[in-house]
Amino acid sequence: MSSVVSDMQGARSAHMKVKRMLPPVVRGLLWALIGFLIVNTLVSEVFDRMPYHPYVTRPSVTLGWVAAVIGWLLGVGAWEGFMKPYFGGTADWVVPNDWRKYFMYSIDHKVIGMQYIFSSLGGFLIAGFAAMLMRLELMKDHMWIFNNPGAYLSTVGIHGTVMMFSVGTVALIGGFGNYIVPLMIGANSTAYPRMSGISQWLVPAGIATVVLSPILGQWTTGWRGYEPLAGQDPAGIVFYYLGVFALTTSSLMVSINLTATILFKRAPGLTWNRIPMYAWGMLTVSLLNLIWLPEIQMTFLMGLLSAIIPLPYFSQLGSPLTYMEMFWLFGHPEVYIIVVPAFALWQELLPVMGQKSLFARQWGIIGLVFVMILSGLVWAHHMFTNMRNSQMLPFSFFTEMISIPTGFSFLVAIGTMWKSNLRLNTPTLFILMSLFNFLIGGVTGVLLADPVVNLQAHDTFFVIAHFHYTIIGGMVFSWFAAFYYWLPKFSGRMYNEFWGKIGAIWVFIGFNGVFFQLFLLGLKGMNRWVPVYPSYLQPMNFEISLFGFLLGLGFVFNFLHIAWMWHKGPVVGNNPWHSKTLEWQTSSPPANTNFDPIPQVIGSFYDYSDSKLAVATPYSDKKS
Amino acid sequence: MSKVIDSHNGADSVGRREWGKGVFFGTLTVVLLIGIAVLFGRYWLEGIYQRTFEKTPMQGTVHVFQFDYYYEPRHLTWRVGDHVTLAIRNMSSTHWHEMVIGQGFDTVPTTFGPIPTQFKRDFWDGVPVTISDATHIDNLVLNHAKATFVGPKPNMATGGDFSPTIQPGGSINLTFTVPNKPGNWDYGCFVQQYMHYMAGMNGTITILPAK
Repeated sequence: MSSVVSDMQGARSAHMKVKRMLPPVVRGLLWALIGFLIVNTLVSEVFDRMPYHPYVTRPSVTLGWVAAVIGWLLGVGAWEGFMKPYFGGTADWVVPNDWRKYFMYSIDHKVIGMQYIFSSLGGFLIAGFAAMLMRLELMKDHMWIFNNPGAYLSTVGIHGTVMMFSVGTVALIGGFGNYIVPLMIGANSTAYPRMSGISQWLVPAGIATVVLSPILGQWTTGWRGYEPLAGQDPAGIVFYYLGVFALTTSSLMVSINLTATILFKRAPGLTWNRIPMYAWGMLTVSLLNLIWLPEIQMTFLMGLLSAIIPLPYFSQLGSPLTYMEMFWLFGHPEVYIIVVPAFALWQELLPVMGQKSLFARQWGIIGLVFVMILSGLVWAHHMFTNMRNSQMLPFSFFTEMISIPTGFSFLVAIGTMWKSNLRLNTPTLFILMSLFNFLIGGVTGVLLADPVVNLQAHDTFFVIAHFHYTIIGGMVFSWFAAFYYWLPKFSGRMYNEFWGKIGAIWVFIGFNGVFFQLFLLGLKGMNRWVPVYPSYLQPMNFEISLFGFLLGLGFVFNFLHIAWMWHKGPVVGNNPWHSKTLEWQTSSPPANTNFDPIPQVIGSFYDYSDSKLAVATPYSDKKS
Repeated sequence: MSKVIDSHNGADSVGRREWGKGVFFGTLTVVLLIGIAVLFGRYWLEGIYQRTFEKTPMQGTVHVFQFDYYYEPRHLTWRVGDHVTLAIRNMSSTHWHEMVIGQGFDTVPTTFGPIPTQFKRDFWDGVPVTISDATHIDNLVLNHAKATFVGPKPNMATGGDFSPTIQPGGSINLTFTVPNKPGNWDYGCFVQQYMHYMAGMNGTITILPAK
């Protein structure tokens, strides 16, 4: 296809020419600003003008935000890369092959995966900083960092929201999923690369929206945006709903893309029986996302309408408890959206590190799928304190039930390690730590699923400790394992084993030091969402804060180590782990075209009983 | 916008779009700094701005808007002897707000230390004030102010400093001649056990001596 269109000077040019442009990110910010100013002005000064109202009102900021996000997406390159070709123009969007490609719209799944990884990493650091502020505040039993409770609660809300919606649901799915899954299934691209390119740029927009919410006002609801409490909050809650809407939209697009990719873009011979474990994890998680994200987006839209119109959906005129039900209907699957990729990672890494066939592979997959199915049946265990006794039994029962498929993942991992020659290197160490931490998180989850215990421990730090054990302990530790495991894939270089292990042990000690004590603190009566507390809890809180800073520094240390080795590490071969999965059967880092030719799969990826490769046309550097 | 050939076999025949490192990092740094400044220092910066640049004494109608949880404006300048109509309007859709003017604090002891309940000195003590256009007033405490009412009288209450407690969307006008009480005064909202005040619902008044 080629068409020549005259440019603004009327010159017809079909040859090479260099065109200076604003950096796409800068242009996106500029277009966002213009869009916001135009729409906000129209709404607050023309269509919805009211005497005495300020320039920025809740309806105007909502619609202005929509315009700003559209401007931002078009500005970073969706205009040339998506809109113009959609309306029949030519796509004159060229991505240079240097560092610049990570800061503009791209349709290469590897670039998008990297962008997602860095976006969620940015979210992780911002939300981690918020956590440090919280720990700083809790070092004393009275206000001293924040000067009012609302500021502290807003910080708690920002920490939780950004961690859940831009790290937990994004890092392993949008990041590693986008990068690794097409490589794993022998595809050269995802199914919907242009949509995927757009979805990435919603993440920074969403993070920025949530983080900047205090500009509009405080919000006191934490990461759930509870109505009717949110209905009494200042305007900051509007940015909470909007930011989360952007982030969930992004996750939804990723899920659509990955599902279609896994369903339709597999290499020849890659039958359903041979789909790699991580791809299975991505598939189950994507189906969870496809089921539950639209539900929560609708709930948040209702919350938003309640806040800006206002409509009495969840006030005493409406149905106050409905929001909680609707939120947790998504909120519990959400936590499995976060840990299922971690389960899949255990089963992905351990056979490679042990060079031993995956034990009970089909049970591992059944475990993933049944966790996915059961996760939608347990939501009300978050609300034992406001339901009838008769309602508690089924939810308690299903919650205990979900530990069974979770146990499958453990048994698959343990069975794979059993009598294997396990290489105890950094990724393995992180996986083992993840298993250990998630076990503690899971067992305390079984405790909390008992209404008797729950009614005591509800809203205490016991609960906080439990879900941090599952989410940090399960997902973040696996995330680091994935970072170290796939670092040679991303960069062709290897990390330093000694410093990697130091980093792993460091965060492990810091993490357990913080969160194991939180169990005890919760049992002693420390409530969530309070910046001031009885003074007898202060010594332990002080100590936890010290461990918390240690943990924060440990995370930063690991990231610095990874970043350093990304550039300066020793160069290794294409397949340093001697893995059989497809992503290692091409060059590391992969070329612009992942596979040329597309490989033919002839065996299992997890069968280490012999040294035969699973592909018929293995990659070699020596092109004839 | 110029368009060039779209080519699917490499970018060689296509117009390169280049963009500079300096503009990119420069803009990002500036945006980041603005973001941090606005996020952490908005309240503080606004206060400094208003105290620095808005020193002309206000006469006639002075609008004060109440939001969750801040006043707009947050700094007022009056001159002794000037005629002022303070038009207070509660812009919140959910919260009752008041506007108390005074100096110093009266506190009550609590588990969490002393909590201010009202100002020690009430600005309105002995001040003749005309109260008009009162709508959606939850209650009005006069304390020692000398009030005349124009139009319907709002629901009256006693106890504490002079303060109109305004329901969401309500408003009240207070017309008075600035009394001879020069100096710096605070105003604030003590609703919900001083929480509104702590969250930023306070402001300052500079009263200049008569010319």
